[in-house]
Amino acid sequence: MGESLDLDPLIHAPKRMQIMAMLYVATSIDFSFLQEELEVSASVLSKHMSALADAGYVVVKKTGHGRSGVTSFKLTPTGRRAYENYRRIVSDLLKL
Amino acid sequence: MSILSSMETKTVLRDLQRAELAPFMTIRDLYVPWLGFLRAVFIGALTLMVADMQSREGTFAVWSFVLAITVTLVYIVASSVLLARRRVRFSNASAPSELQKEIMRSSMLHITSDGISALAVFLLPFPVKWMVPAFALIASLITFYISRARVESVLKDLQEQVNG
Repeated sequence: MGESLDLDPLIHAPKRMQIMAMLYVATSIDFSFLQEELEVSASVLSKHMSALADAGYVVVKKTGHGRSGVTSFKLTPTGRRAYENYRRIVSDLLKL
Repeated sequence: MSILSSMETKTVLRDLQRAELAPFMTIRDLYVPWLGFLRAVFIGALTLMVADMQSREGTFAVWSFVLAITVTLVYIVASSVLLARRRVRFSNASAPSELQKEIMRSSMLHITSDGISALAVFLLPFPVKWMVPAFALIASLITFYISRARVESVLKDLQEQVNG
């Protein structure tokens, strides 16, 4: 147990955990899709995404300008490893 | 971070599985009827062009060629727009294995259907050859709806598995 079973607090927040899970299986996902799936306001989602981007877990890509602009997100290798570690710990906990 | 209880762990794991499945549900976006219909017209127009070019008279050769090229361009542009508008991008390799198999089967079904149409237009005698475009169009529509139904069914099964 001990440190090896420590859950990453940044991922453990329910909405961020779902964001990480969705990004893990996709190449990239648009802001609007995440907002729809998570049923959160744009400002709440922006805060979550900023937290994940600041930690180096996701990268943001913006294309176009104004209303036609699209913001998409992609998991970084660090984020991928962090999610894999988080998932492994959760799976291990279930086996205990 | 404190250790989760067994119940909490199960909830977290289920939430993870649900979230991991969500991006793949967008594959439905690719099975929109108008694209299936456009594809069917595209295959029909191509076979019409070949059938006409092979005919002794070739009366409609130019027009069927123009039609085939036009539909081809419209189909390519429409598919590109549809793909560009998708809000989730993923490679088939990351999809659950059941879905991967179904996508593969769907492609094989279309290839088989198109292959039969192509062979028919080359092998059948006139005037039977003129029926091939209609057959190709209908066969393409049928394969599209079969593929769509099967993919829908796989997605439903995956959702049920996750929801327990």
